[in-house]
Amino acid sequence: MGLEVRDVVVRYAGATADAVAGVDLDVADGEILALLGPSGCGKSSLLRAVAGLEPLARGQVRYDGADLAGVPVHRRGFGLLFQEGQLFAHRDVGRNVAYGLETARVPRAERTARVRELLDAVGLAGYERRPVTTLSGGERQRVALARALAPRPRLLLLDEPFSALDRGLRERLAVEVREVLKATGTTAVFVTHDHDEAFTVADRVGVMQAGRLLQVAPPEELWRRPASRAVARFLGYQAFVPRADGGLLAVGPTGLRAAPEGSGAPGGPGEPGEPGAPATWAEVVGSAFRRGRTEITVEADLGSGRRRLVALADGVSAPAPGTKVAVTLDPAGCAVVPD
Amino acid sequence: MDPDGRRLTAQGRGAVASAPRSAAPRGAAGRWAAPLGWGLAVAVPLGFLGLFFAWPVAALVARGFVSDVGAPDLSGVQEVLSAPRTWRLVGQTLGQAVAGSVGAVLLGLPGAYLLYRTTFPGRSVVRGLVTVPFVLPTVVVGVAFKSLFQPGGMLGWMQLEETFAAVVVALVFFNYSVVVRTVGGLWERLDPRAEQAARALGASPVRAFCTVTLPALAPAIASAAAVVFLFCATAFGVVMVLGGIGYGTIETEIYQRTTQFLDLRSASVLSVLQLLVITLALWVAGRARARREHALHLESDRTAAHRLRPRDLADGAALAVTAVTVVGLLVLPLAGLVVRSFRTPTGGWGLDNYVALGTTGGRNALVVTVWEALGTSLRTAALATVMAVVVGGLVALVVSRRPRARAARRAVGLLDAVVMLPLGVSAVTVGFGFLITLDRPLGLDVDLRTSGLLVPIAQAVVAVPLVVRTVLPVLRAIDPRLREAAGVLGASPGRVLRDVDLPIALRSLGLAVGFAFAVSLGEFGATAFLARPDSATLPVVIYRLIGRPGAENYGMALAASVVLALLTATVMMLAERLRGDRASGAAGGEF
Amino acid sequence: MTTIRPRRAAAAALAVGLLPALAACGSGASGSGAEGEATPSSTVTLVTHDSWAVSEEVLAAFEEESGLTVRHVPAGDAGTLANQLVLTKDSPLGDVVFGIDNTFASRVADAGVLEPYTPGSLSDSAARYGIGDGALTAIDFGDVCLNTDVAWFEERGLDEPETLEDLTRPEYRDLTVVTNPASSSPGLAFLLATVGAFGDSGYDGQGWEQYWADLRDNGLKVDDSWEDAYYADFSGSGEGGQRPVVLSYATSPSYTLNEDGSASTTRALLGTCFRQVEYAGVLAGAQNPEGAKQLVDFLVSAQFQADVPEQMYMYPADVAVPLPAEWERFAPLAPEPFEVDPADVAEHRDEWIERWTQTVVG
Repeated sequence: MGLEVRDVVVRYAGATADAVAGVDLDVADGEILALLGPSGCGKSSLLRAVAGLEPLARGQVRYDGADLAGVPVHRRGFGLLFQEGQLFAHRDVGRNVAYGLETARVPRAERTARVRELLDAVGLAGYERRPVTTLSGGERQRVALARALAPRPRLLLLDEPFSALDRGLRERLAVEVREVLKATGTTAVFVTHDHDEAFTVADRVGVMQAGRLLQVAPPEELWRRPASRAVARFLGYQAFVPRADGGLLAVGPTGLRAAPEGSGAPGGPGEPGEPGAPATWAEVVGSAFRRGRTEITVEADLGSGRRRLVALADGVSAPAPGTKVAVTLDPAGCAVVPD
Repeated sequence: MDPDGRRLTAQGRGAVASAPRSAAPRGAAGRWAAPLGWGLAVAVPLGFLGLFFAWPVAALVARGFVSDVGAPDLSGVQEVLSAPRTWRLVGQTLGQAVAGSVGAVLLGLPGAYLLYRTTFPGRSVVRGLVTVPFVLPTVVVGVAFKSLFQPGGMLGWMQLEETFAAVVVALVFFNYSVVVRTVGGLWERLDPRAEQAARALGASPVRAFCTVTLPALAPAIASAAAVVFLFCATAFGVVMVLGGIGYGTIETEIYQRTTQFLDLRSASVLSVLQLLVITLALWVAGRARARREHALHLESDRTAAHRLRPRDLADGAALAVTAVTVVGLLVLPLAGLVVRSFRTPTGGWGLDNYVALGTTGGRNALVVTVWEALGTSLRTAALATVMAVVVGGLVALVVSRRPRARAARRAVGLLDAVVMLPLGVSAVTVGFGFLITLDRPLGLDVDLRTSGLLVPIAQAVVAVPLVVRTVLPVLRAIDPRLREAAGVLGASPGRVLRDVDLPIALRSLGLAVGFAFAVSLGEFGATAFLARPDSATLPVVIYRLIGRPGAENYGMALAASVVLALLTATVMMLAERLRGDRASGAAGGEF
Repeated sequence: MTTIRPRRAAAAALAVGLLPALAACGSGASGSGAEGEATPSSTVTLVTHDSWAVSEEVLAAFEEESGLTVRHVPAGDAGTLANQLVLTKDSPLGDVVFGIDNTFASRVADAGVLEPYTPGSLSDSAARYGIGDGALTAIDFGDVCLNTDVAWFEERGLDEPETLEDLTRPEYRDLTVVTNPASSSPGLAFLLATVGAFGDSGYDGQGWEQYWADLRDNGLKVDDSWEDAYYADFSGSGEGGQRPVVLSYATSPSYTLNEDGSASTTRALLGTCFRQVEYAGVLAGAQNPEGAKQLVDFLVSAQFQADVPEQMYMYPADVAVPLPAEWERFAPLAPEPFEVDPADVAEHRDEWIERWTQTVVG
């Protein structure tokens, strides 16, 4: 059954718009769902409402069929992981992890075993007696994760848990957290503004904007078939070219390629909305070498006016600014969305 | 090597995988516990302050507006307000309060920098030392200052005897530590990188200080200044001793009108006038504190103190100003006191005065020995501290929360301001108010007026605002998500208080206990004219000794004052220790 | 009073839990544990000014003999005490008051604070001071006089002043310090001395106000409290003061004996004194009126009267009681202290202080 969110509205006193404006959402048992959206889109408010930290202005939150209205935070049996971990500075690592077990009156011996087991699981074996003030940022988040998982929550809520960490660590932890959640069969809702993180961790991703849930889908499907132009734009689609059928061809971050030199001049703008359409000329503005490939910034008109776009230039040496290159649309990097 | 790079181990994963789910929710039992708890947390302080402050004060003031036959009588208002004397008193009150606040801030800023932004050997001793005057009995300090200023005294050449300046100097002496502590507490944790950035952008040290550091400190400075203003506006002993004849404030006038003439008509009008002045100061302080909440975000996690560099311009200047202030303003009067306490009644030097503390004084000036009075003082202060910490702690707890409802937020803000009033209302008004209200409090058959409890209660009323101002900033600085994290982990609201708020607040509570204890030890205003059973406290005994002729009694009074000062300094230094580490993000309070 | 009611309601919630708890803590601290054993009628509460003192043996003997337990409650200086009694007359602080002096006596008596009672064994000398329709019983007395620093005058070869008028003479310019009658009880006594001495027509027909004007013009200094005047301004206390004439008590010189105890370094000017008489009385509405009467009887008894000089440093009202030997030398009484009729004091006191303030403070 898992989590059911029905028409939930969260409203803050004095605010002009609702932070969460009528959201429906289901998270199945054992599923990991990521809520993705820009800051201020209401994803954290939704998470806090599920946790019971914000009152609902309207709607219902149910778990396993039971309405949670009137069930206080500490009786919901959920876990929550914050951005900075929010460890208790006056308790050492072991007693932080044990906290949820203490409130559940788990016997001491069992507690100790469980703490050891979880510290082991997050790669901090033997850290029990360390003061939390001596830990690095990554270690703190691992302790926070162990603490959240220790009481075996029915649902784990993660609120931007890695955004205070540096990029490399963030990427590693994202993978590891998914492994741990899957291994424990933990149902989880994960809030983030980082696409890669959401796509790495989640079974399904929900995109939120201005308090509304625009689309929920598995990562691949979301990427392939954005439900709207707004979702596509948020996912990073860089241009929207009108198609003959009335839809739009959304050009993804990898949807444009610079043609290798000598592959022939473009045959003029044929039907630009079609993937695999003939190349068109573009003027190079600059280039950068990222993640093992060259990305060039060009100015081109794909049929919706001249604009600045990014094209991949595999096997092409970075052209000098001002030169003209031929660019083509890569069907694998494009999607069709309704206008 | 890099612990962050370690992978979650497969073995661990297996172990976790076998773990079953957590149990279903335990239901909504105890839904009434939270409202009930908060209700009590509001009711206990309101009840205490209502019974032992608002009611007595209101009852006494009300008597002044009722004629002998029971009809409303506002004739006193016009009479008092049209008297030129009244406006002279108001002018002198405002004048000394403004001058005292400005002086304390100007001298206190370098002190705050030196004692909280730099480290040097003996720093904690100096920190303890500057607090001593704050809690010394004014009678003793007044006489000590007076002997400095009079012709032939060490500072006689300044010709300050019986001048406005003498009063202000003494007020700065008393309140210096308020500024040092309040501003130092914030400064200590101010991120130094903002000022460094300004310097890198080409600002001179002075410019960087004025444009970056000073604005960041402004809320703390304003808050301290307002509190000092409060203390200066209602100062009593110092004004009586140092002001000379013809000099007076609203406070001294209320005292004379009430205790000597029983002229409640005028006293009530003056009390209302005083309340207006105080409310204004509190309003300013409240606004300053609201801004300070934002300022808290500027703080860094660790203390940013560096070793004192006397050659550095800023350090050197702060060192010089503070050295002059501490030596001239604090050490000189205190040293005069200490030195004099070793002069024997026959004119030699020795411990005679201290030996005499075990007696009842020359020709039985006292009913008990000074040591017995010390015991009474300690017991009374302990009791007052318990009351002040319970009441003040609850107030701080309630005020630290930001309820969702607008009305509730307003009420909380009001409570925050109201608990400061005991510092601004004349002790004599409270004391005489006790007399007419506490004979059968709430209809109970306990005559509190002559019970041993009234003295600690009166002291607690004065100490509550200090406890609140010490604990509140710390509670406010607790990240609300810390409480939420505990809640999600299954802790009930009560348990969150116990496991999150309490351990963090405990450190500042140490300081609050120290303050409450020290203030209770030194409290004299209310204690002096309260009817009390036969158990004089140390300040009362000192006053009594100094009220008798004879070198023997005077020497004992000074020795007893030194004992009181030492005791106070020790209590404050211990409390300072109890502040512990700041890793939790706990600020040091506002005093 | 309407604003107070809600607070009372709120306070009631607290009282249920807090008051008994406080009471429990308090009994330990106040040392009043005996209360529990004693029935109400066996305890008698004595409200006094802060200078009250009695030998333990003398008090114990009284308690033993009467079966009463005396509970002592000091309530500030004489003025504060008097005003507290007036303010609490509907619900008195205790059973007996000691320490009302003749400058405040009429106010207290007129306010109906006291229950008339005259001890049967009152000495004639004490009875002579009786005022307030027999409600106040004189217990002791003393003289408030100017004191001089003997050595100061000797060193300068200057004769000490002797009379009130002397102080206005140019050779005594800037030498005198007194206290404010509005805030200090010796100050008030001294004002009454000048009123008694000059009235409105004495001092060459110019009255007491002109006397004070002349004093003021002759460099008079006025402090707010006796402590301040005596210790900070009076040269004779050895604390660095600059003025050799101070307002104090006739008994003060006995505190300033030289090293071998043969002479005092200060002297009271017995021609400048006002006689302060301290009274006791039974409070109207006393919880234990019988005990109160027994306590007043005790205060005029020979044992207590004999204890007064050593304990409170006042003269016992019963002149038949022997005095310590050295009193004759160092603490003599003024032969003819100035007097003002207590009824006059009651009627004009506030007005006189007001006029004094106008004249001296301006």
